[in-house]
Order: sequence, then structure tokens, then C-alpha cells
Amino acid sequence: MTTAPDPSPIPNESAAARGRLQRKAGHVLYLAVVVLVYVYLLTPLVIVVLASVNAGEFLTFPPQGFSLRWYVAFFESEAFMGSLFFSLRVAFFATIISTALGVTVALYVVRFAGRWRERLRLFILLPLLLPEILTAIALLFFYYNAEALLRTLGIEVASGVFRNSVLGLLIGHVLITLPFVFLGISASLYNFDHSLEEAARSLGASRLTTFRRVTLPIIKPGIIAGALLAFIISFDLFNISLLLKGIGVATLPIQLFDYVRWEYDPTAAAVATVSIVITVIAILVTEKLVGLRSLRF
Amino acid sequence: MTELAIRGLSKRFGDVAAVDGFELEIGDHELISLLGPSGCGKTTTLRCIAGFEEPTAGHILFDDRDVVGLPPENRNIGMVFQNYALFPHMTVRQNLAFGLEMRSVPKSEMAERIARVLETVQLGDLGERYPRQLSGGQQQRIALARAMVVEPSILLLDEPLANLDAKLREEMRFFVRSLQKRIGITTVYVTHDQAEAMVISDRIVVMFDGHIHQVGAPDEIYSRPVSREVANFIGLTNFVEGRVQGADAAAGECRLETAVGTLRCAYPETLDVGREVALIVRPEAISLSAAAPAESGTNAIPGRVGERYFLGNITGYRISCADDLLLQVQDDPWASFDVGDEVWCTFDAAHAWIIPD
Repeated sequence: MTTAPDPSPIPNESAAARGRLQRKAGHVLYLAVVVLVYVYLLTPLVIVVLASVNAGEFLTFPPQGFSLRWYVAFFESEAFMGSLFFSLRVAFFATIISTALGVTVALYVVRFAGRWRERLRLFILLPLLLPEILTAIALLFFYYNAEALLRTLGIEVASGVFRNSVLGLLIGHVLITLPFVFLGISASLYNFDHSLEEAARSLGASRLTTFRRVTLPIIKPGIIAGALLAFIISFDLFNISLLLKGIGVATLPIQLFDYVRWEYDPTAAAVATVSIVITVIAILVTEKLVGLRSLRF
Repeated sequence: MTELAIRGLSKRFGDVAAVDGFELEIGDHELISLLGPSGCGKTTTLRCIAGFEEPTAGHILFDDRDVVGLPPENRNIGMVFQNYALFPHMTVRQNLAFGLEMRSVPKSEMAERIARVLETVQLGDLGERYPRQLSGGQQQRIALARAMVVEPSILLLDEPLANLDAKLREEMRFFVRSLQKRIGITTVYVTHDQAEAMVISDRIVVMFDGHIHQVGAPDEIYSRPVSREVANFIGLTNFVEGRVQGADAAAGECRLETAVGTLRCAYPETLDVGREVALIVRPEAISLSAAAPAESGTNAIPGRVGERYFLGNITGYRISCADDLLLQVQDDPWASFDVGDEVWCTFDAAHAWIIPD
């Protein structure tokens, strides 16, 4: 059998080559967009870290020589160190409280809420959907009224028991961080295979033992992921803290804001870098405990 | 060992009766299958026995002790789930130890019993693996081992082979059956697969819409079904509608007047003349021939081959007969008729059965 000679081998070949080239160009373009997104994300971080080791007097870029003097300034500043530890403390307690509340509520909403499930889910996510400043203002009004209400009920409360105290701030932080904890835990509960609990019961475990030995270990990654996010969010929170903090105390972001209003030296960059480091440490701890996969929602 | 009795069990979910008036006695060592289409109430019944559902009415007796109201953890059951439900955060050994820990079995005895049960399911060397590192069949066997290692009074299996591929499923039927016979544990097995139920069970309970239709040994269910639903659900069946012409309970035979002539059928009870009934005959009970049968005793229906298919062990035909009657026939693979051939379908009275509607 003879093959009919291809009348135009050259145009065909060049069409294939052109196709290959187009695919390749498309691929490169796509990669470039992705790279740009990452550059966009990471550039501020890189700049702030570089600025923090700037030997010069001002927040300038490019830096003028290398120096750790701004870190020294930060660690020697009573105001900054005080607010750092205050922030860590608030974040710590807010995390503990919202994790405990989050587990309790998520269990109910996912398992037992029935046809109310989606509505209840939406409600608990509200602080995430509403502007943070609105939540803060609402809380502030509420604190005023709550104080007055308690008084009319004849319960004696100190003036500013909510407004000017860590309690009021903590309530705000728990409110804002709760949705994150809820999301982490409810995601792992939605995927939870109910027959695992039934298997445990059939083997002789009580409800409580089943929860402790089977449910809890399996949803643990979701809980830890939620708690981690809660910690980072609380550590970072600005609006709520600004409105609800007591007089004379400040969280780190508030202190930092106060500082950059009047000063323009690289101490601010050093503080920002320390914040980044704390966040990275929190992520590394999660990675070590449960793996980063559990941060997927 | 334990006898299980279920008396008047009913379970309603709102207005829907999932199980209604379920009565059954299950003997010691017996393996009973609950068989039926999805939604027939078989799983609900099993979950009532396990204690995961509270019956609306009725009693469930383990050796004359009513367990209704008792939580599942106090019933001493072993249960195997369709998806195996192995604890993913525990090794095989920890999975097997779980039930023993709940029973405060001493450590040394625990190790011994786990080793023994792993031996029984032929997975002795997999103790340190996690469930995700096992194949489906291995997970299945570990789930069985976990349920049995606690030496439960009753073993409950909820579609345990449904997630396995066909080949493995057939093997596991024999594995489960021989294991159950060896250990002699009273077992309730839920399945929607009739072949599985036939292979595995001592007796089969066929359920539809929350009701038991029939309880019996596999061959009884197959050859003497009590309702159209049962006949239809278990294997292929031909229905021939007719009217009782005469019945002789003493001879155990009944004659029917049908659109394709008078048919005879084995039937032990007397039926009123003129009553409308259905005669059923299985495809493999019918044989095909080109000429009309010589003996007058056998049933013979003339027809034309409408379709024909080859399955290896048999050749199947769909025969169009008078009055739009379509007969399904399974014959020798080498007895070959072609589409369009005029044939006679013959079958013995002993191989037919009557369903009085």
C-alpha cells in the first residue's frame, strides 16, 4: 500500500508549532499572574522586615546600613513590652474561651439543630460578616446600657465595669474570634462519620467516653486550627480594641498606632516584624501538632 | 450463647412506620438475614436491636431479658457497619483493644485475645497498621474482628460487604458464614443483596414497607414465595395470571384456567374454584422444544422467541406467548433457538407455585 504524499507538509508542521508556542505562552502568562499575586502579598512583609534592620533614623527604603538598634529600642520600651504582653494575654484568654464556646456551639449546630442549622450557622458567623467597627460600637453602647440596667435592678456595679476593663475587651475579642473557631470545628464535624461513635457505643463505651476517646481526637485538628486562627486574629484586632480597651492599657496594635502617629522611626517596623514572627511561630506550632492540612476549611 | 426474640416491634418516624409489628424468634447459633429493598425497615430493625433506635412499641429479648431502654453500650453486642467504622486515629491493635478496655479486660488477656482474633481473620501481622493503610477487604475483616473480640451475645451486621468489589464480596460471604458457624454466635445480617442472603443465611426474613412478608430457609423463599413482592425480589420470575379451575389438596395439585390454556401446579392447600391467582414459574424450570411435548401431564405453552442472550452458563430467552404473556426462560447454553423460532415452553407442575392474591 502506498501512502498518498502530503501535498503541504510545511504549513501543517508550522501550524502545530504555532499551537505549541501558543500553549507555552499561555502557560507562562498564567504562571506570571500567580507569581505577581504572591509578590503583591509578600512585598509589604519584606519591606517591613528590611526597614526594621535599617540603621537610619527614619522609616526609609532602601535601608541605610544594617542595625538591630530598633529592636533594642522596642525591647527596652516599657510601653511596647507592656502592650505586647497585654496583647498576648488577651489573645490567650480569648482563644481559650472562644474555643470552649466554639466546640460546644458547633456540636449543637451541626448535630442537633436540625432545620435550624443553616440559620444558626449564619448567626454565629455574623461578627465575621459585619464590619468590625459596628460590632465594637454596638458593644460599647451595650456596655453603657448594661451598667445602667444592672443599677436599676439594684445590683451595685463599679462604674465602667465593662467599658474600662479587660473584661469588656475580652468579651469583644471572644465575639470576633468565635466565628473562626466555629468554622474550624464545624468543618471537621460536618465530615465526621457518625458510625464511628456508634461503633464505640456498640463496643461498650458510654456517651462521654465515646466523646473523649473517639469524637474529640478526630475533630482535634479542626479545634486546633480554629484556636490558632482565633489567637492570631485576637492578637491582630484593632477596631474592637480601640473602642473597648480600658484607660491606660493598650494592645500592641493600638500602641503601635499611637506610636506611628507621632514618631516615624523604624521601631514601628521592628514591632511589626516581631508580630510577624509571633504569627509564624503560631503557624509552625500548628503544623507540628496537627499538620497544615487542617487549616483548610 | 444467646437466643433473640423480637415481639411486636414497631418504629415510627413521625407519621411514617419504618417497622410495623415485627415478630421473630432467632435461635442460638443461627444466622438470620433481613432482606429487602432500601427503606423496607431492615436497618431500622437492626438499629433497634443494637439500641441506636428506641422502638415505638414492642419488646426485644436477649435470652428472655428485655433490652428495650438499655443503651447500646450495655447490651453486649458486636456490630459491623457498612463503612466498617474503624477508628482512624487508632492502629488495628488499638481498635481491637477498645472494646476490651471498656470491659476492663486485664492487659495480658487482652494481648492474647487480640492475637487470637487477628489469627481468626487471617491478618495476624497487621496489628500496628492504621486503618487507612489497609485494603477494603482487610478493613472489613478487622471490623469483624473488632466486633467479635469482645465475645458479644449477638453479632449484628449492617450490609457489611456492600462496599467491596464483586469478586471479593463473593469470597467474603463464605468467610463470614464459616466464621459464624465456627464461633456459633447468634447473628443478624442486614442486606439488600438476595444472592448474599441466600449464600450466608440459615433463614431469611424478607421485608417490604416495614412488614415481614416471609421467613424461611433460602430454598423455601425461592421456590415457595408467599407474595408477588417476594417472588419478584428473589431471582427472576414469570407470573401467569389465572383462575382456579379445580384444586385437590390431597393430591397436592391445582389446575388453573389461564389465557394460555390450562396449567397445573403443585400446591398443598385447597383454593376456591374461580379464585383469581398468579402462577409463578422460574426461568430455569422451563425448557424449550421445537415440537409439542408428547406427555399430556406437563404444562406446555407455545410461543415465539423474541430475544435471546448468552450468559456462558445459560442461554436466556424472552418468549412471546398468547395474550401478551412474556416468558423468561433460561436453558442450556448449547440448546440454541433463534429469534423468531416457534417454540414450546414446557415445565413440570412440581416446579410451579401459586400466589393467592
